[in-house]
Amino acid sequence: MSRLDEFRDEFAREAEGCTSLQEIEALRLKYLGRKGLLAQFRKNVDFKSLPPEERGAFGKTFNDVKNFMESTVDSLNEKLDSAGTGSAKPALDMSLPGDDSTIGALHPITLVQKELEDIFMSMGFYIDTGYHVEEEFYNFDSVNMPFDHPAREMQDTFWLTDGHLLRTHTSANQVRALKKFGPPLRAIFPGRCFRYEAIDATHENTFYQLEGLMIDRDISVAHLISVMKLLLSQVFHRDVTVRLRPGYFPFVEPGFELDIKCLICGGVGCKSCKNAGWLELLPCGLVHPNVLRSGGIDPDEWSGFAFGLGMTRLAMMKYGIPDIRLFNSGDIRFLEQFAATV
Amino acid sequence: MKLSLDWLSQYIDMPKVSPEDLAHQLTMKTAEVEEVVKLKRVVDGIVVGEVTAVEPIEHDGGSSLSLVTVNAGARTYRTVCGASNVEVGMKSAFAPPGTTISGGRVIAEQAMAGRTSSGILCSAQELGWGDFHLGIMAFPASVEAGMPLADIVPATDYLIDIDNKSVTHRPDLWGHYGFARELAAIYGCDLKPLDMIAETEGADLDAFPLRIEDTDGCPGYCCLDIDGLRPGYAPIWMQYRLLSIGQRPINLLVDLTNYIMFELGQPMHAFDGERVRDIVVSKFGSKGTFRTLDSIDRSMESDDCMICDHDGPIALAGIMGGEETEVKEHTSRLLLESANFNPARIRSTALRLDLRSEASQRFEKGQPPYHMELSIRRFVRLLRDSGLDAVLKSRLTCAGDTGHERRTIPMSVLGLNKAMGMDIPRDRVDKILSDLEFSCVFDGDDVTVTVPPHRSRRDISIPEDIVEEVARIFGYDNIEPAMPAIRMEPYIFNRKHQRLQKIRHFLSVGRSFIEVSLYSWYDDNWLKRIGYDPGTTLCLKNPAAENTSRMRRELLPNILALIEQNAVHRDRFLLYEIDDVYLQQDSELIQPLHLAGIAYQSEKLGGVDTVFRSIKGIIEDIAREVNAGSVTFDSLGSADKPWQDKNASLEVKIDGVTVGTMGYLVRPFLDAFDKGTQVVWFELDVDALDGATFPDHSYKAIPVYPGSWMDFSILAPDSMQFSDLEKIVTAFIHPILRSAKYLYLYDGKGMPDNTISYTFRFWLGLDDRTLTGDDLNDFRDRFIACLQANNLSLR
Repeated sequence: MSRLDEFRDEFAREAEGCTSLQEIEALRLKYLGRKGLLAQFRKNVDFKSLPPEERGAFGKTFNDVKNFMESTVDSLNEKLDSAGTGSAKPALDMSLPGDDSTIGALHPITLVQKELEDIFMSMGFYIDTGYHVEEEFYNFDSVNMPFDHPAREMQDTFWLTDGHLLRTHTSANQVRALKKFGPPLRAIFPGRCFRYEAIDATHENTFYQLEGLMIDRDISVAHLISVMKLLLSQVFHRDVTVRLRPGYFPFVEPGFELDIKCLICGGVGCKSCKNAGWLELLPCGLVHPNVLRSGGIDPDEWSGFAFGLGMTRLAMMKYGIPDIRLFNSGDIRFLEQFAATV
Repeated sequence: MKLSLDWLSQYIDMPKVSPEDLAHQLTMKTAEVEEVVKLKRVVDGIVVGEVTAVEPIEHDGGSSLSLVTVNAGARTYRTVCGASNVEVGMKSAFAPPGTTISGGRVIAEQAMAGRTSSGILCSAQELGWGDFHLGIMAFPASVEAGMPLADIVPATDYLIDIDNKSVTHRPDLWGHYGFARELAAIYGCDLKPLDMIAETEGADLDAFPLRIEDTDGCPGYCCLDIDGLRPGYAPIWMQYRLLSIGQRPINLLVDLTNYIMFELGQPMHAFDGERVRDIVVSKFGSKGTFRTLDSIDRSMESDDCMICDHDGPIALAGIMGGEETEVKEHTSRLLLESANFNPARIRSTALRLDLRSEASQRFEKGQPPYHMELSIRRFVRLLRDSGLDAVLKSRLTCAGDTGHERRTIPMSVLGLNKAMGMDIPRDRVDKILSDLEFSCVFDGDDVTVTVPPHRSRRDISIPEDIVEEVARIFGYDNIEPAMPAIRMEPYIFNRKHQRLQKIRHFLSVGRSFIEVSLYSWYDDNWLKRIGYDPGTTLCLKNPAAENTSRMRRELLPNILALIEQNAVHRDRFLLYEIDDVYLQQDSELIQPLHLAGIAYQSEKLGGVDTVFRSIKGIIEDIAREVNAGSVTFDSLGSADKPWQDKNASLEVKIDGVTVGTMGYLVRPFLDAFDKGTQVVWFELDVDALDGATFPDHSYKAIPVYPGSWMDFSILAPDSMQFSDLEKIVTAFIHPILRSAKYLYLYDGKGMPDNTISYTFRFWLGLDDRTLTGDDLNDFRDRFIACLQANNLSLR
């Protein structure tokens, strides 16, 4: 056995005993360093004195041993490194955090609104936001609430000194849209609404609704139920069970309150559905012929359904916001919780 | 609206279901039930007690006590009683010793004020019948002493509380009888007719002198002159039921009118029959006062509808009677009114006088005129049932619309099925409608539906109303959902709305901004603090608070108001709001979409200059984002808002047109804030950012020959504005110059005094060949020459 083979065997034995990067480095220096055993051995060999036929074999063996040692050192280093027991400093401290996020926050109503808009747009509903400051005609008369209608009282109104009012519901945009687009029509009207009432944890004078309107030929209660069920399943990302019961809203006939089976308890009754098993979610109904007529549409030819979603309420439900006053508070400790991830 | 199950059971044979199931059916088919409450009433062991002697007790306790002798049938008791209404001859509820009364209290024989008291005379509260404790129960004289109350009224009742909002449109449901009719239709049981005196009774008597002048205010009026009234109390069962729904029994006359109001929904009024000998319904006619029966002088307007006699007004129509004609305790003759009034007129008078009674609330819903006669005939029947020999002194006299006309609604079965989205068998339609007292005549596909007189015109007038009647009783749950089949059409995007959502996305997702949503009005207190007068604004007639009447013309003031509250919590934040503002322009109302924002940074984190430049860049990007074109900034024409300063504000322009302003806050405005506050603000008219959408990008050929770039740092005096330097740089032209871009400035260490170094990058290249060293040298020489010509040099 040549000296080189001995080196290799000794190296291999010592390498097996290495348990730290320091030991590997020491091993590397011992054999492969500039003044290491291999270098010294190489220096002491009088290459020229070797017979020419042996020179090639010597060179090959020498290189094989050297390569073996180098690759052993490398793989040992790698092995110890990845095991995390090494202490050699890596080039990059990859544990440092990423740069500050540039993601800000969207208002929780915007988040809810955007999600609803995407769902409705995917089903071909046009988006029209209407006006905050409205004419009495569009807010009341046009949606079948003439001046002496008792329902007007249900919606306490902010009046402007010039006779305009702040819309009490997004239904104010129904007849505007009917006039603008004509039938058939699928549209939603999201936006800010106002009611003249005292503010507390569950009441605001400024809140958000989303009105939906679909006008086509022979639209029926069966269609309304079906579309609502589908939409709500998208909103809540799961199948929902809905039920309709009578509800009175002057702009629809028949009019309904739509309840969904409580998503938290599944209908057995819990705190969030006040033990009813059902949550009152949205008013809806078939569009009243008087509303169609206000919009210049012949109720004998066209029919439709309308529904109203309380976006503020939906946001409270969805995010567990207990106090409605937070929405308009401008408090960034509240607002920054709603990272703009849409 | 509160319903007593005991009360309802008078009109129908109650289906054998739980009160909760009944409530559920009502919710699903008629009106929303808010809650079902089980009422536990004390009746066991309680008997009718007759007071035979009352002897006042002298004692130190302050309240007046009496020793009362009570005949309880089987035996007589002596009890100490503190009730003010106790008197000899009255009959009341007596709890003998050993009886358990409300709250689990067991009545024992005990000493009180030095006397032995056995048993007690009970108030409504002690019986658990109601919350009233002002006096002991007062029963009619006709009931026998010793009679157990358990023989008359049940120990348990259920109260079904209906959400009033869900019956606003159903005046027929403002009484128990209406709900009994609904239950009859829902459960398919029979509705018993109301027990009334015959229509023909008194028909041969003279009519009472009656005339309606204000036919708009009073579409119909009925009255009856009745004699034979005696003071007394309502039957025990009636008092029991009134208490169940929260009404305090007063005396027979008041309780009877109340009872009928909660039975049929129809309010009535009784005048002193000795005093009122004719009726004219007319307007008040002038301004003046009228004294109502609560002894308050009400100020009247000429349009108020009044019940008058030949002498003048005697009652405020539908709202409250007058003091002068109030029924006195010993009146034996009364004029009973049951009328119908214009809902809007009643509402406006009641609101103005702040006098909203149970009666006015019902008239505001529009009572069916058909109930006028019904209620009077019912009243006389109940009066007689209460043991009075009521004698009619006139015939039932009516004027105007008495609701006898039957309205019909022609419709088609096909139309009904189409609206429901399913076929409902014709006999089912017929059954449902007839259970609700409609009648149908079928003729092929056509059907003529006759509306029962108790349903209001407002509620039932078109075929769609009939659809609702059929569908709700049929059960909405029984309708099979079906998706509509619709024609495919191109989708119309709302560009304005897209722009809004794009800007939100850009600021909140890409630029760390937090979106806020604030009120649509200013806060005058805040405006005062920042010294801002917004000029002419839209104003609220009825603002939420005195200082919030002016509608916002721009968004910024309300956002600036958020600085203080949030600076307490964060040393840096970016806020914006994007929403409508309200302007009166040339007497036309416009509501443009605005975007306004602020960047707050505490002084500790660095100067305002970097924040300013970052916001400036963001504004440029917003314009790009919505394809509005490229933005230029100009000095502000006039700083007319307090947060603007001519030297710290810019106008934002697109194609030379101003679309907004931006700036940073300086003193004196900044004095309103804590020291170290640095704020950059901006406000843009988003509607003005409507740019072309096609083409939104255009391709330029990629250079065939490689280009190069050179960075030059130019030394400029600090008195020079960057924009002046920029003009020099952009004016410089050279054949190989493709574009130039400002990179950064340096004014730190090693710079000559009063100088700033601006570094620009120049992109160089040629279309027809590769650049040579000579090209670059020539460019460099000529650029330096250009600088020298402008008294500038390279750093």
